[in-house]
Amino acid sequence: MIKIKDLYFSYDNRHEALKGISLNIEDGTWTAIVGHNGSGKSTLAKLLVGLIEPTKGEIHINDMLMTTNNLSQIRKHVGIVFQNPDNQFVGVTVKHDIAFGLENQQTPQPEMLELIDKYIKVVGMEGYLDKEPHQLSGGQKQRVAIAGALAMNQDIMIFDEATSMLDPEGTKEISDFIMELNTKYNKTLITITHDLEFARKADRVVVLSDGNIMFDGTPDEVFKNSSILKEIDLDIPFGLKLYETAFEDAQLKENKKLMDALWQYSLKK
Amino acid sequence: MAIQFKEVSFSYRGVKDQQYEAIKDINLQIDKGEFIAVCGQTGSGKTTMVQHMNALLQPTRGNVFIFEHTLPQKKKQKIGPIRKRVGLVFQFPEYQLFEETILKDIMFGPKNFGLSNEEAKEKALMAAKLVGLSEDLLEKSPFRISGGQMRRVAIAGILAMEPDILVLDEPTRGLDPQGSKEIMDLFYKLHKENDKTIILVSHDMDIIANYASRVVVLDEGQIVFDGSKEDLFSQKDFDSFHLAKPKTIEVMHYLNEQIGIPFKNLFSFEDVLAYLKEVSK
Repeated sequence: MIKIKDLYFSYDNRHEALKGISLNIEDGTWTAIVGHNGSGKSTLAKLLVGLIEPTKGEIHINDMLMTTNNLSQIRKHVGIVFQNPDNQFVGVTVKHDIAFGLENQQTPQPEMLELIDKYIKVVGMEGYLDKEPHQLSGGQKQRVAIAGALAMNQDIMIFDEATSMLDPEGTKEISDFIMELNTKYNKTLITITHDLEFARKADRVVVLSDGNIMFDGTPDEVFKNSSILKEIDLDIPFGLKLYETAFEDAQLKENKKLMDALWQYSLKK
Repeated sequence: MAIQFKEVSFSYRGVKDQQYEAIKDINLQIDKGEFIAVCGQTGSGKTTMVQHMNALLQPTRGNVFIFEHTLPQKKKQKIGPIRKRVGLVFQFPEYQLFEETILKDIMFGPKNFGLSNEEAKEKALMAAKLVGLSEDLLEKSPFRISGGQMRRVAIAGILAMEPDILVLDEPTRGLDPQGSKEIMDLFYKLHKENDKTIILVSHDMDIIANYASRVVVLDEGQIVFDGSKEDLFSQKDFDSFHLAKPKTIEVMHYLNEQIGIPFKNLFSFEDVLAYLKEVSK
């Protein structure tokens, strides 16, 4: 369980990136955090893993108040995968990369090898253990990052735009893996994304705007509320955008047959 | 004619001298003023092909003609004159920024081509203006601006060399939808107002449908389609290309099947909306 209480953060003491966020996230749920660039979503992710320190407010992870002194405890529970696969690959080979986090947790070697073996299979990359980063595609590097996170057995996983640098195949592959972490491994999932098609599959969507929570509800509630969608200025799924725009047009609105078809299409996509 | 490929193949040399042929027998002709998209699955040879266009790679077999230049080059021939006419914007070009200020970074290319400080600065200011970077930003470090702006700086660095042809390898990847649209609108403007020939490598069929007029599809190193986007999306064997259809085409098909609205090849949101109004009259 994550409890966020009245969280503030400022990078330069003048502009606040987060302006008093409060949020509870239940175990085993999938929350999508959406918002455009500069809305504060990545700041929130960094705060949740203690990469930066809030200017005010509290974060509790499994009833533990996060402080600068207990970060290693906190990180046993929370893992994060970032946008750029190249920036988070720290090992010289795939094996070393997965081992890195486990070594930090002082996992004994025999157990470590067992974990690496187990989770490299889960992400379908057995046979790649001795490969170096330049021999892997972006999607493969993200899979290694996921294997590393799984091996650490953290119960909360955060993905900060983890697919936005991948090609369409890589994006689909990694998106499917991310969903599986929740459905199959029962991880608490927080995905930060501007891809609303993906966010639509989550249990809950939190919309951030200018450092505030603008909306918090089920995907259906968000997508039914066109004023929110306009406000956040994200790439609304094409079918829905077409329906919404047609609905505002006096002439098109009268064409019931067309409006029904557009609505059905927007649900399909 | 601007660029011509004649029977071009390129092999990468792998471990133990194994050859891997990334493109095979490519024939392609690109005229001045075109806006061409190159697409195909990962590993189909798109990047390898376009890297020949500014002599970053030289063919293992066949010839590439770039204006008055011919590849492969002879030993003493210089690559500089080719690079001046064809600018290549790599994937994630912002990773190649390195100077202390944005201005210096944009000036690097023209200076490299032998321009004086004054001249290079003039070109850099012009390029910065083209990509919409405000002048008060120019003395800042390129590492203290947003990702979208960093990409503009990198693109300005290429534009400062005043190339006739711009080759763009996945220019929108990693940008949010708003950032993607801004960058693509910028290239479209350069194409329309500054007569730049554009060769765009992209996976995004919606972007291709919206901006390009001609599409080249690669599969396993070979060209499997070369023609107008209208023809591409109505190809019978379209599915064999493993490409998505643009959303505008998808919705037109859907409305045709469901309520009998006559199908029409449309490529932008606005066009679909206008067409729906027309048929609702």
